[in-house]
Amino acid sequence: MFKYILKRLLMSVFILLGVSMIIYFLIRLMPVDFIQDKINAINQGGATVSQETVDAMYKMYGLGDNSFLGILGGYFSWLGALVKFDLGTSFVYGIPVADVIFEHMGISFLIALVATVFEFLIAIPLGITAATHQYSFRDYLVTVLVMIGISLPSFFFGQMLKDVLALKLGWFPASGLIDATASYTGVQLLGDYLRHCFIPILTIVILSIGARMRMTRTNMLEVMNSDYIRTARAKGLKERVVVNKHAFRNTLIPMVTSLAGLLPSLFSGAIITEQVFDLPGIGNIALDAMNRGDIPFIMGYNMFLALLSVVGVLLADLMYGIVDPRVKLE
Amino acid sequence: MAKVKNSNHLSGKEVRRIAKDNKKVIKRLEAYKNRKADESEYLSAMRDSANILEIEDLHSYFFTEQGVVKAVNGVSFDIPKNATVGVVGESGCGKSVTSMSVMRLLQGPAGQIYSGEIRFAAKEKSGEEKVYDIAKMPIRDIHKVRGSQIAMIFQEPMTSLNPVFTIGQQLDEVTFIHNPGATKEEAKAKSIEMLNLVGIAIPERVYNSFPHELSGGMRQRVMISMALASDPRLIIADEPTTALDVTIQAQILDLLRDLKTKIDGSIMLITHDLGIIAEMADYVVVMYAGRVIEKGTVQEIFHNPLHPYTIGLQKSKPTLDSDSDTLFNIPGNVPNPINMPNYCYFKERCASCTAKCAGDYPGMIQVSPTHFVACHLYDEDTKNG
Repeated sequence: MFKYILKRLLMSVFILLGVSMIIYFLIRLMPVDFIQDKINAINQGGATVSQETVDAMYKMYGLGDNSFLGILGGYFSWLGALVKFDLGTSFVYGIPVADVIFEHMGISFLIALVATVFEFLIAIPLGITAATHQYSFRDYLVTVLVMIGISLPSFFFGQMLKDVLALKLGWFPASGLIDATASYTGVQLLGDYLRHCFIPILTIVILSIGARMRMTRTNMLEVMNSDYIRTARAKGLKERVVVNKHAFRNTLIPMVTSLAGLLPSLFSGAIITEQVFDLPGIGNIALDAMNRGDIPFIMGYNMFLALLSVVGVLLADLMYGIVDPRVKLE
Repeated sequence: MAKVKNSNHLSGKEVRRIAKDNKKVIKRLEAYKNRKADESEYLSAMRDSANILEIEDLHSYFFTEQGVVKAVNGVSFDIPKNATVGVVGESGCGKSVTSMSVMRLLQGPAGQIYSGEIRFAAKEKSGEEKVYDIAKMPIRDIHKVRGSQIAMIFQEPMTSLNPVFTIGQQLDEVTFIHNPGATKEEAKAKSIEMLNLVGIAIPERVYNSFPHELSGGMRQRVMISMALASDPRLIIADEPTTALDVTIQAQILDLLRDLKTKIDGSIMLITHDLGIIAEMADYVVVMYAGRVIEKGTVQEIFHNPLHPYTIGLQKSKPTLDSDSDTLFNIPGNVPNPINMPNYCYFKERCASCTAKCAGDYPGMIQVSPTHFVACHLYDEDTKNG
């Protein structure tokens, strides 16, 4: 087992190297130029920037040479710094990338975690009940409702909830993360956070229940039709035990696959939802960085997600070994 | 231009009509199945107290999009106490559906018991007998007989065990259901005893194994031990050896034969293999297209088969002493189960068919105290005239 994990981690290093190279090249080829934007801004202010200053700036940011070898050189200098656990300094914020990520990740993680917990708590029982009452009124009702949930775009639905719950009813704050007029500390501050995050979380939960409910229903239906469920019934087990023990335990096996994608999604931030509610989450920051060509930040953010993805897949594989006795990891 | 009616094609109108009709019937049957009922509603009395199970005019239907499949269409037979009754017939003749009906395992909402009686003499803990009509039992009360009084061994040992639980966990469960006060140690002791009983050499190791670590024969033994763990009065074995190779088949059959004397109960053995029937059964029920066409003792069926289908079945058995290079087969096919004719279902394939066969479906004719056949050849007036 230990050997297996070690082997997988070693392989991950190579995967991450490949990923970082691809991302770096793509970003460098992106039609966004941080320096040019900066100079344009200065020019608009009325000042003029000499060509020497421009060249010096390109050189200072390491973006001077856009030939293949130039980009490759840039990549290796990024990699060299990474080996020393240095993700570089964000162009936009002027502080280390790691600090920017950790500053904004917390809130995104909080929202994603709470939303995911509720998503599972709601979607799985719904999926089970829809499967055990297949083609009944209950099944159709649940299916229709979650399909509506899947189909709604988050910018529209988030805006709608905001309009109703925050602007019309005034139950929740409409945007931002903290109440600027009050100075809360400790538990009160956390409460204020949660009050601000309520509508974004609600939006995410409603939109994401559908997929997981459909998945649970499909898996459950497949399991419920299998021979060993018939055996369990023939033994004289109560239907409740048949469903919740014998069937559910087997639906966990395909569900574990989705865990691989769960880990990065907890930290990646919800770009659109954060935009709608003007939350300083990492998704919002990342989109901004992308628009402004903040190369070190985009690299740091994407590599962070890549690392989480690799770890997520590894964890999912390890979980397989636990939930399915037929799987042996070696 | 005259259009040739294609019986397999359904127009949209027909499909909607079928769906509407099905929905109505299924709703009624499901409500009946899920109702709460007092025990007195499904208590019954045996016609003959020497029987453990009496099936009378059982109809089990599948309500499909193409129409109603009458998988079991008026089946009646008895299982006497301490006897093995073999149910034989070709694939799709309704023998498994009959057994599933007895266990109330038909997969709803499509599969339903439409009408009929399944009387079962259950033995209470106090020792007295109580007769339940299983077909009328609400599904919430079925645990009174399912598993505890009637146990079932399935056709597919490879897939009939839950892959994520150990054999021990699955066996212990049976003890816990039927003896809720049992401790973990007691359950384990009972499970190991059962594994021993079915001839598993290292029961402790099998107890801790997962199903995928065992061979097919071992799994079928585990299935049998699971069926036995609740001391049932009736074991339904649905083609218990079909998925196994011949040497294991013989072992499993020996095991079943031994068990009958050990548990002092009855066995309903479902198979399409006449060899197994000849070896194991006391009584034989021959089914064809959802109906019983002949039933009697094993001697009567093998030495004096009456129905042309039974005769055909016997002839299609491979033998070593025949000179022929090819196997005999009964010509033709079973009629479409959705649109069954109203005359004898075997008429189109029958070599000894008479003018009378185009008439009503033949009734059961008694030819000896135990031998019954459903064929116009043995009608009183046919024989006399």
